[in-house]
Amino acid sequence: MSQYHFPRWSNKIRPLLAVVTLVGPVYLTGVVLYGASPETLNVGYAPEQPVPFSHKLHAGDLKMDCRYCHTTVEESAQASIPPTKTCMNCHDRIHTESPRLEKVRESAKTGQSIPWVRVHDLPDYAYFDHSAHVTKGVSCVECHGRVDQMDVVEQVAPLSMGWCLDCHRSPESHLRPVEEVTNMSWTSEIDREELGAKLRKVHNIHPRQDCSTCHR
Amino acid sequence: MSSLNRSESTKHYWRSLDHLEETPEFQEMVAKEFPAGPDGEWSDTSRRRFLQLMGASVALGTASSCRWQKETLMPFADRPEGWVPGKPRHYSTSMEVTGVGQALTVTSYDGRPTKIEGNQAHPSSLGATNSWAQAGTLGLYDPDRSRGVLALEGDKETPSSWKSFSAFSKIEFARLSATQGEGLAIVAPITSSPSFLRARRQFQKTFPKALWVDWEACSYQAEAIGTERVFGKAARGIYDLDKADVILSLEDDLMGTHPNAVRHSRDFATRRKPEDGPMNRLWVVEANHSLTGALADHRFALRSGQIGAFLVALEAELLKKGGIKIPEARQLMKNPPQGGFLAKDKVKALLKALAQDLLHAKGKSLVAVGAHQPAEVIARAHRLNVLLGSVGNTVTYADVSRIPTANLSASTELVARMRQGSVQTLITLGGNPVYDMPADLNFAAAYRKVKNRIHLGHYLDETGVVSTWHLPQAHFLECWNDSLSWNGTWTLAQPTMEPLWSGRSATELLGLVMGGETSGEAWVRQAWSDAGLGGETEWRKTVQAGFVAGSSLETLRGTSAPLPLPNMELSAWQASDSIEVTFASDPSVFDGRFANSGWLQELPDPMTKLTWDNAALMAPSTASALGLTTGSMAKFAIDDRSIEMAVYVMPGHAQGCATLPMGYGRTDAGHVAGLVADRVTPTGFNVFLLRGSEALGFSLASVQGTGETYTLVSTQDHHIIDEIGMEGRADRLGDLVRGGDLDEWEQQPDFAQHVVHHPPLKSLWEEHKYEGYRWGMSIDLSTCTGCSACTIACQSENNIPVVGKDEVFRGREMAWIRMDRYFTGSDPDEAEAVHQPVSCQQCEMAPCEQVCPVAATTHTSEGLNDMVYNRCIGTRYCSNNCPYKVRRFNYFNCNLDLEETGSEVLKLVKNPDVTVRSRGVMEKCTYCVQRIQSARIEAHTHEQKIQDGDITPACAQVCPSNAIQFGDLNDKTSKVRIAHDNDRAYAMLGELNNKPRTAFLARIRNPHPSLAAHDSQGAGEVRHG
Repeated sequence: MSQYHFPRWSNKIRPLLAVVTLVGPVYLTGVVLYGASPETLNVGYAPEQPVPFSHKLHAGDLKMDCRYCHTTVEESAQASIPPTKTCMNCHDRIHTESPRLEKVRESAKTGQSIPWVRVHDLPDYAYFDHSAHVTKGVSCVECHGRVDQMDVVEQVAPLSMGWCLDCHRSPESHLRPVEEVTNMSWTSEIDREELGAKLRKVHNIHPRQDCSTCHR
Repeated sequence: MSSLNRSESTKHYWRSLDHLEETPEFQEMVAKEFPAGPDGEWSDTSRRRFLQLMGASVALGTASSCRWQKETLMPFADRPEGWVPGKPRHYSTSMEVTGVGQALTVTSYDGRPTKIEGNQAHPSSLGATNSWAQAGTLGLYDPDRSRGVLALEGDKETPSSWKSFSAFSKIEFARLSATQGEGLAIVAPITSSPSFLRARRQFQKTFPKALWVDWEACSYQAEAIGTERVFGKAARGIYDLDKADVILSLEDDLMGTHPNAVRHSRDFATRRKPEDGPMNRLWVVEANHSLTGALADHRFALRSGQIGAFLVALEAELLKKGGIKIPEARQLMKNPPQGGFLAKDKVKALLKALAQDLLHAKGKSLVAVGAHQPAEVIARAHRLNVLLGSVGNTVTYADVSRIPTANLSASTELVARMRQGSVQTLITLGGNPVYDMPADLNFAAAYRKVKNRIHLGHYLDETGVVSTWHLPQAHFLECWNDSLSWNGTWTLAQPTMEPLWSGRSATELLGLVMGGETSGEAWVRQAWSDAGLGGETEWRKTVQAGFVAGSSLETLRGTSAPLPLPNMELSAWQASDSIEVTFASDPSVFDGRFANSGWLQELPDPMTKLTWDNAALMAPSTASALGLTTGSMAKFAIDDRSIEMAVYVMPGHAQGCATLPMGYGRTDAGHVAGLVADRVTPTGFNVFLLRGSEALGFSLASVQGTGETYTLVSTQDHHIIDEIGMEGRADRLGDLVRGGDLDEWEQQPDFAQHVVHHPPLKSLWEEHKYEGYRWGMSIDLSTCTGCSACTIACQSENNIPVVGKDEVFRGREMAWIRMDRYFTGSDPDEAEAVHQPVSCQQCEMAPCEQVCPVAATTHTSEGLNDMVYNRCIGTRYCSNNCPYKVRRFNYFNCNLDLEETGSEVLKLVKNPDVTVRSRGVMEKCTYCVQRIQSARIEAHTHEQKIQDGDITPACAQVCPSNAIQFGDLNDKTSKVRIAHDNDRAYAMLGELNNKPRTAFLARIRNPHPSLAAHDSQGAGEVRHG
């Protein structure tokens, strides 16, 4: 009965195993931390919309105020997507034949909703309230970026819990006068931190970091 | 000896008979928070199945990409003006049960009603509701509701439409109107709706020969007959409980199943706080241990059939004292009722004290009587109110001769005609007569002889399945309606959404068959215009308010001179060897109409704590004499009718009788309460099979054990607070629920704070400081009636799932606020009961927070114990460490049914402001943190501070007796702070230094001085040890 010999190549297994044990966890951690982070997954998300609406054209070039369409941003948790009627306020006179607006006209005619794709999608267990932020001087820009420069809206901030908390811990550099909230190109004349500290006092802003602030 | 010393004279409290007797089952319940189920710790998932599932979920996790599902946003094409997406809107509407309207305010999110509250401005609600109204949203979205018109023939169901039904009815009713309605009959539910009654008058004009039958199982004709006998007209007693110093209830569940219980509770509560002025005194004589009995200062358990004798004996006693004058006085004094139970010294003393008390409070006393009592007892009881000078002070009698009650003779007539074959067309306008008509009439058999059987109903129920047409009925949140509340306030109901399943209201159906107006709105509007209340502006205002302010029933005149009453035949009330059975409405499912509501089925009965079943309730001594115990099956027989039913031994129940709650044993209710055709076993037992037309209230029956047993699931021993281990636990329940008599309170108002003595409490770590808001709650045990509406309100507000009977058996019910019910007294037959709602106490030094390995339960700057579901990994350490046992664990994903085909509609019932929890997550009361946050955002966006009263948790909002207060403890003027500063306030398990944020206010009873000795076990002086 012949004895069994491990083949020669099997000698390499041991060093290989050592390498895998040492490098593997580092690699895995890297992949998980980087690959599964909201920065990688969510930032830059720019889904195609059923109607190629350009914020750049409307909010940027035409200088329409955000609140012309997102009417409830100051009173509700939701900024709300405008009803088709809002589009038709102008588009029953302008570009009435444009093929790009076909779905808008159809929606106005049938009363069916336009199925817009949600870009900024928080988990269902996180309860964000637009009104609480906008009325205290946190601008749209702080979370949504320069929407007035986007043809297709994309997510610019990770919208992760850590990112939210960064601002809740030190909000000063994200505050501006309430009347400038929808002014996308606003810049502070004095130091942002200094202004923020002042505004924080005026509006009595104490961002909360308790779990139940957002999770209920 | 432990460093905790207790007064030895503290009342001895117990939760169940198992507890009193320390049975092995109870020991297990204490040792394990979640006891083993019938088939071991876990259900029958095998290891192989487990691996399969694991494999599948890993595969699924990899396959689905890292980003979550793409979501679409569906905005309005044309948003209604003033509509703010995501902001709840509130509508006034109402719900009617047995002809009495309850005014409601409905919260609606983006067009779907999610929460029901009471209408704050309405006199019968004052912002509160009962549990039936709270469960209204679940009823609306019940997937079992019928979804369209059905044409039925034998076992064949053919989907049809309103259009085909209209075509049919056009021909059929044209034919019937030609014969003036010969061969037409209607079975109508009891309603006070002016618009419906108007349609009814019109209908009866069109079809004068049609037979109209008013029927509902829990509406009693006896009350109308009895009051007519004494006042000459059918009357309704409208009680002002806040004005009454002495209240005697003769089996009238004033604060429980009474149609006006919500308002009664509020009024009663105003006289139960010793610091707010003189307390009232409540005397209750009843067979079953009811909620009102639990609140009583003196409760006397007596068979329903002997209550008449008790009343006559009381009259005799009052006559003896010269307090009242009645025509038959001489005869009564010559031959006063005696013997039987009246011969007992205890009863004599009780009668003497009661008579003395009633006379002492003459003009400020009140006698109430159960509607199921015989007419002669009802007449006598109401006459006593006249004789004692209560009319106009504590009670007003209103004329209700125009409001129908169940009509037994018409029902009998209908069945006879059906049997003869002289009824060709019968319309059931929403009831379920096949299920709930008296069994001896044999309605079902006669019904089949009718050619056209038209059934309007929410479900294809027992009556629906044997009909030829089934028409879906609109839910009260889907249609226009109106009704009168108990005091006669004209209350409107407006739809909060379009009918989900093309349902129509009873009025609309009447309009349709008459070939006239079919819009419910037009009917209600017409009734309103007829009353000459104004134009469009006033109409809009009325709809917005939900009721016509100031409207009421006409007060009956001439009540000061009651008509002479014939003598009552007393021999019939003497004890008999047979057991007497009382047919009672069920606090959860009422007469069976709410049976298919999972919330109500799982809601523990306030007294028995039974879930998912009814049972024959008996006194311990009666049960043991019959050789029965809890869970034994017994055969009840009256004449040739019999049922087999499980027995539940109820401490404090009257001897020699049994109470049988109706409304269970439904064979065609739905997938919750029973659907035999789909192999869903009915919950509980159908008592209607025993109930005969000879006695709808109570009757003698023979009872015999069958030798079989049945698993009844009661939550009474669940979540037992086990303070310091097994030993000595029983004596210490008195520490949890504290109470005493009025004179003890007068001697030492803060006696409740001295029940437990402990060394000075020192914290192990630095205590939190709260500079902003400091949320707290107070629960007044003196006014809590135990009605359990808070449990359902919480379930509705916080998306709490239903787990089912098996899981409740394992102690896995999910209610965040549970209603603990304790008994006290050494004799189980004469036990008194106390209720204590317990939810998370939001400890400042919370034991749960210390043990969570993942910081899923954390402390907020305002002192709440936050529960972060998305962080929870389900170790259950927190629950283990919680001394109050208020944490609930999701053993299964209880929301899986939301994904089932056909059940998607159930998603609509969820509150969008609260996370829907999944499997493996711990949950608990949050003080309705979503309401706190929305009040904060509302106040802070307007740069204001949250004011006292801005936040009301669901439990506090619904509470009929206002026993629950909530607010900021740092605000010295807030209601909750005032309650916390009350001498009666105590912290439950305060000796553990948890610093709970919920304070309980000790329950104070007000026994009659001459009977106080009888209750001497009260928490008297505190002995220091």
